[in-house]
Amino acid sequence: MRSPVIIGLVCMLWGQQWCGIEHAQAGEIDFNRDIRPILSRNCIACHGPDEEDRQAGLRLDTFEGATEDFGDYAALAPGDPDASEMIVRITSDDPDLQMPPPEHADPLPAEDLAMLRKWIQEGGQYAKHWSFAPIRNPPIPKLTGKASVDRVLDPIDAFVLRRARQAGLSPNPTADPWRLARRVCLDLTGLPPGGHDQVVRDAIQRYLDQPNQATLGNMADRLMESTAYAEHWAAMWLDIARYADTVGYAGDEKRNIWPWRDWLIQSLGQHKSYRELAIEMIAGDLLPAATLDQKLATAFHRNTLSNNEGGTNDEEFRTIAVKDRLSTTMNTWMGLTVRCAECHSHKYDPISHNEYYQLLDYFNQSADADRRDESPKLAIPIPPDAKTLADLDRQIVLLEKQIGELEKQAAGQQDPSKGAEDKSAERKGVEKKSKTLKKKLEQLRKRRDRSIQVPVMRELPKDKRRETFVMLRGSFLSPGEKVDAALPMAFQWDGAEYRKDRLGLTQWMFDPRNPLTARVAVNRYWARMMGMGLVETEEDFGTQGTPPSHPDLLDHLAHEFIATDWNVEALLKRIVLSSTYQQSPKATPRSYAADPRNRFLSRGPRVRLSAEVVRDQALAVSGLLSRKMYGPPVYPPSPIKRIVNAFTGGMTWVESQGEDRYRRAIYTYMKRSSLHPLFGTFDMAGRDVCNLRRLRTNTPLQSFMTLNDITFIEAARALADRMLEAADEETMAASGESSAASGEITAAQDEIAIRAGLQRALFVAPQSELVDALEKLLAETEAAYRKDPQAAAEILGLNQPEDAANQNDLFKRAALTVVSNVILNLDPFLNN
Amino acid sequence: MSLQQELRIANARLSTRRHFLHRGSMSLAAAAIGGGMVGGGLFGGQSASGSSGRSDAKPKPVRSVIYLHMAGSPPQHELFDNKPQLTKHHLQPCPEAMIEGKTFAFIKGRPKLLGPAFPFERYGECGMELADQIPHIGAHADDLCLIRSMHTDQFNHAPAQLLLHTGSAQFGGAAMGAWATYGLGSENDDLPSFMVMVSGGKIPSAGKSLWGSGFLPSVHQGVQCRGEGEPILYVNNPAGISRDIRRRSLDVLNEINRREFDLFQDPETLTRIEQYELAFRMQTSVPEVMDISRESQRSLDQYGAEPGKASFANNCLLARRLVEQGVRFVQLFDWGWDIHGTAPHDDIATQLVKKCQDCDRPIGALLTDLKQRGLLEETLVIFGGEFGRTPMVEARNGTLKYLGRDHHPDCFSLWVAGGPFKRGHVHGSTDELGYTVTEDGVDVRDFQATVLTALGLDPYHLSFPSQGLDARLIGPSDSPRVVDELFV
Repeated sequence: MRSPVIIGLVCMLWGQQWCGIEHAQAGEIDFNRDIRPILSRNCIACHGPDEEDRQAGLRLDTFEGATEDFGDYAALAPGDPDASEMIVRITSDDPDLQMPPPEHADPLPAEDLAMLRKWIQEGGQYAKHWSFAPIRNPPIPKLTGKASVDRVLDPIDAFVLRRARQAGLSPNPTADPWRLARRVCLDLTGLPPGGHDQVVRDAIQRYLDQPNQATLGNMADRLMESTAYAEHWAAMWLDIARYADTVGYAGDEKRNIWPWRDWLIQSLGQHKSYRELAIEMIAGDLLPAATLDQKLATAFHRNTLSNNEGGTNDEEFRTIAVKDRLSTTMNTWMGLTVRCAECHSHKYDPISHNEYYQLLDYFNQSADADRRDESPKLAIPIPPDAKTLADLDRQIVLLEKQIGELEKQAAGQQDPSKGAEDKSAERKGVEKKSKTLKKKLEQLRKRRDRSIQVPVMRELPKDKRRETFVMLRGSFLSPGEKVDAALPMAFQWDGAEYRKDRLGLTQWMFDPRNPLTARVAVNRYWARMMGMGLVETEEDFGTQGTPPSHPDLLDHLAHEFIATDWNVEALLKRIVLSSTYQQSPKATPRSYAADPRNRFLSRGPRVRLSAEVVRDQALAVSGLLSRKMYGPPVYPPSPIKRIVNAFTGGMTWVESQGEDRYRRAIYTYMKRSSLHPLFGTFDMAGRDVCNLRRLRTNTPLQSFMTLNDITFIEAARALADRMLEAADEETMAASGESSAASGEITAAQDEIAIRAGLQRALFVAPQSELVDALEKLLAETEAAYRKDPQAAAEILGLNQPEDAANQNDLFKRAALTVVSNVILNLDPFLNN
Repeated sequence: MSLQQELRIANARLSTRRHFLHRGSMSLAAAAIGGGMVGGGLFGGQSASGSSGRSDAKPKPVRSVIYLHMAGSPPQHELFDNKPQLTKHHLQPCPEAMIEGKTFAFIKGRPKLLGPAFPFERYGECGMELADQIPHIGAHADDLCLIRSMHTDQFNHAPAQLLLHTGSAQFGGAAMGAWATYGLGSENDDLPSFMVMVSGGKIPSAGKSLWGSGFLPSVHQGVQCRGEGEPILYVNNPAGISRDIRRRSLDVLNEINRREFDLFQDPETLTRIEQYELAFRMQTSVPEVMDISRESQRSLDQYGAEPGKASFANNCLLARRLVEQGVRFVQLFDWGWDIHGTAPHDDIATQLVKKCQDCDRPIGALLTDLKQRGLLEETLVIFGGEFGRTPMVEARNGTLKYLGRDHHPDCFSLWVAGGPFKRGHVHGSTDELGYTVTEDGVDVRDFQATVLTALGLDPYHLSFPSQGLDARLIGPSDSPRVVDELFV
C-alpha cells in the first residue's frame, strides 16, 4: 500500500506546527510522542502487524520484532545506533538498500533521524500506544500565582492553563454573560435562549442578573432538564446510528423505525447513563427480563441498509450489515477502526484478520437476514394523542355497554311464551345489530391499540446459531478458518469472564479496565462543547489517529467519568463551569498566529452551528418553532418535490401543514438517498454508515440556503412581524395608542423594531452601529418597495398588494422582512 | 479600504485556507494540501503545481472531463462489439458452459443466444465497427479510443454504478469528480468545479451518492444542475427581492460581518463574507452559463437542443459550455438504457432505437464542437454504462415477444475521446460470443487509475483518511494499473 507513505510525509509538515512546541519543552524521549509517529509514517506499512504483507519478515512495531537477530545484525541494537541496521539502511546511499525505498518515499528528514538515533542511544525502548495503555488518574497540576489560581474553576482549567503557559499563551477573559448564555443554550440544547420555556428563561435571567458559578450551574441544570436537551443530543446519536426513515440502496423504500428515535429522545431525557444507553442499544434484548423498551433500543443496529433489488444475494447484504454493526460498535464506543482487518490483519493497529472475525461472530447470531419484510420485528404500541385516546375510550365503553344490553335482550328472548317464528325474526334483528356494533367496537379498539412493527435485534436459538468463518480478502464467498466469538488480545486481558454474546461484549467495553471506552466518550462530549476533541480524530484512537493535545486532561476526565458512573450531565456541567469553556472566543493577530487552531485552548470556542441548529434557531427566534415532540417523521418545505428511485417509483414530498412545517429538524423525514437539501448543504453526512464527526465547510451553496430557502424566508417574515409587534408594544406603553391603528410608524419605532429583531436573534444588546446599518437598509428598501408594491406583496408571500391585511404597513413589513433576512444570515447568528 | 487593511485581509485569507484545509482534512491529508498536492479550497483557487502527488506517468494532462454515463447500461452486442457467431446462432440455446456456476439477475434455466438486432458498419479511416444506429458517433470513429474489454465485479445497477464512480460498491465513497476537484481545484472562481446533469426522466439507481463527496470535504461534492426550473437550488432570489435589494442587503451583511471579524478575528468570518460574494456572482454566472438560448440556432440544431426543455441534447450542449468556462468535471447521466425485454417500452427493437436517436446526434455534435474549439485536446469525453449485458436473451416472462439482455459484469464496452487517448483505436477483445474478455482486460479500477492519470493525478497517492483507511478512488489494493497502452 503506497498511500500511507505520502500521508506520512505530509504528517511531518503538519506535525511541526505544535508538536514542535512540545519537543522544545521535553527533555527526554517519549516513545509515543517522539518515536511512534516516525515509525508509523515511514516503516510500519511494510514492517507492521500485518503478517501477510510484512516485508523481509521484519516488524518494527514491537521491541521483540525490532531486536530480532537476523544472523549478524538486528534492525535495532539498543544503545548502539551505528550497529542498528535500521539506521544503516536509512542513511544508506545505495538505492537497493536505502529505507524507506526511494520509489516509495523521500528520505527521512534530519530531525527524525536524529530523534531515532537519540532513542536507540537511550535504549530503544517501546511503549504501548497511548490509548491502549490503562487510563491513569493524573495529579491535578498545582499552579502558582493568584491570577492562575483564580482562573481554576474546575480541575479542567489547571490542566489547560499548565499547557497554555508552557506554550507562552495566556487565557482570554470570561465571555460577556449574554453571549455566554446564548452559547450555553445552543451548545446544550440546540435552541437559543428565547426558544425555551419560562422555567429555563427564569434561570437564564437569574444568571444574567448575577453572573456567577452558582447561577450558571443552575442554568445548565435547567437546560439539561428541558426536552430540548434530549432532542439536541439525539441528533448526534442519529448520526452515529446512521438513522434514516428508509432502507437505503437503490430501492430506498420507507422503513418504520421512528419509534426507536423516540426511545432515544426519551432515554436521553431520562438522563440514562452513557453505559446504560450503550448496553440497551447494543444488547437490550439480551438483558434479563428485557422490557419492551429495552428490546426496542436494539433497533439501533437495525438501522443498517437493506437491499431489496431483484436478483441480489441476501447473504451478501446480510454480511455487509453484520460487518457494519461491528464496525459501528467498535468505532463508536472504542474509537477503533476495524474495517482494515476485514481483508487482512490491520496494518497499524493490533487487530488481526482472525480477531476481526472472532469479533464479527458476536454480531453474526442475530436472526435478521436482509429479508424484504425486515423480520424480526417488534410490535410497538403507538397510543393516539390524549384527546383522541379519551374520545376513543369513551366510545368504546359506550359500545361495550350497548352490546351488553343487546346480549341481555337476546337472552331474554328465550321467553317460551312467544311463538317460534316471532322469536326467530326478533333474534335475527338483534343479532344483526349486535354484529354491526361488535365490528365497530373492534375498529375502535384497533385505533386505540395501534402498534407499529419495528425491526429489532433478536438472537438466533442455540440450535440455529450460524457458524462464523474468516472471509478471505473479506469476501463472503471465500470462507476460511472457522472461528468463535473472542475478544482481541491487544488489551492484555482476554475478558474470558464475559458471555460470548453482544451483552458480554458491552460488559467488556464498559469494564473499567478497558482503556478506550471512557476516553472516547469524554472526548466526544468535549468536542461537541469545545468545537474540537482533545483527540482531534474522534473516530480514530488507534496509531493512525492524532495524539491527544492534553493527555493528562483526557485521562482525568475519563477517570472521573467512570467514577461518576458514566454520568453525561455531570460531565457537561463540569465543562460549562470551567473557565476554559467560559472564555471569550476573541483572538488577537498575535494569539491567532501563535495557535491558529486553538489547540492550547487559550480562547473560548466559536463554531458554526450544526445543520439542525441552523434551521431550528431561525424558527425559534422568529417564533415559528413548534415544540411538538415525537411521532412519525414530518415533511417541512423542500425545494425538491419529487424524489425518484429506480425500481420503486419514488416519492412525492408532500409538505406538512400547520405546526408540522416547523418542528425541530430531527423530526424531518430522512430519506437516505436524498437528504433534505438544507441539511446536506450544512454538512450533515449521509446516513449510510456511522458518522462520528461532521466536517464543517463554508460554501456559497450555504449562502443560497439561508438567503433564499422558503423556510428562511418564512422565518424572516415572522421575525418582521415580531419586530413590528415589539415596536407597537413600546408605543402602546408610551402613548396608549397602537401605531398599527394610526398607520404612522416613526423613525424611533424603526429603531425599536430593529433592536428587537437583533436581540431576538443574537440575544446580546445590539451595538448602535449595527442598528444604524440596518436602519439605513430599512429606509432604502422601504423606498424601493414603495415604487414597486407588487414586489412588496411578493416578498410577503401575497399575490398582490391588495391582499395585505393592513395596507398601512405593507411597505414597512416588506422592508423589515429584508432586514430580518439579513439578520438571519449574520455571522454571529450562524455561530454559537 | 486602506492598503494596510487589504494586506491584513489577504493574510487572514491565506491563513483561512490553511485553517480550512487542516480542519477539513481529518488531520493528515491537511499538509498534503498545504504542501501542494491539492489545489482548490472552496470553489475557487488554482491548483498548485510541482507537487509530489502528481503522477510521474507522462501524458500531457487534460483540464476537464465530460463523463456521459448511460444509466442502466447499453448493450455492447448491439452497439460496439459485433459478434457474427451470435448472429449465426441467433435464438439457439447457449452452450451449457456459459451458465454453469453463474448467477444472473433475472435469467433462469438455459437461455437462448441473441444476435445483434441491427447491422454494424465500418466507420472512419480506422474502419471501426459500430452499430448503424449511431452514425453521428460513428462519424467520429477516428477520434475514439474504444475499449471492448472492460469488466467489473458488480451485476446490480446501484453497486456497479457506485463502484465505477466512487471506487466502492457500497455507499459512502467519494465520486470521481469530487476526487478530481479535490486533487486539482477549480479554474473558475464563479462556478462550482464539479457539475452534474441528469436526463431520461429518472436519476440513476445509486442516486445522488454517485456525485457525493463521501468522506471528502463537502465542498467537493457535485452540484446538480437541474434541467428545468432553477439550475441550482435557490440560485435565484425569492419573489419580491430584486438584485438591487440583494446587493444592498449583502453590503450591510458584509459590513456587520466585518465588524464581527474585527471583534473576534475568526478567519471563518472572512471566508463567509467571501462565500456570500461568490454566491452573488453565481447568481449571474450560473443562469448565464446554463442559458442555452444564447447559443446560435445552428449550434442548437447541431445538438438537437431546445431551450427550456430538459433533455440529454441540452445537457451535452451545456457540458461544452461548462468546460469552456473551466468547470473541471461535468457528469451526465441518462436514464433508460436498462433494456431487459419485458414489455413494449423495454424492447431492443424500440427502446434502444429511441435511446440511440436521443443520444447519438448530441454526442456527435459535442465531439465536433469540442474539436472545432480546440477543447478536445484538453477535455476527455467518456461514454459508457456500469456493466455489460449478456449475449443471451433474457426472456424473463418466458416469451420472445420483446427482446432484451440481462446484466453482465464480465465484459462491456466503453469509449474515451480526447486528451492523451489514442484515436481511432480499439483496445482489448472478447470471445466469439462476446461473453468473456479474451485479451487486454480493463477492470473498472484500472480505468479509474487511467482517467486520474490523464488528469495529471497520481491514482496511488491521491488519498484521504476515512474509517482507518487511506481511502482512494482505486480502492485499497495496489493491483489496479494505469493502462498506458491507451495513451498516444
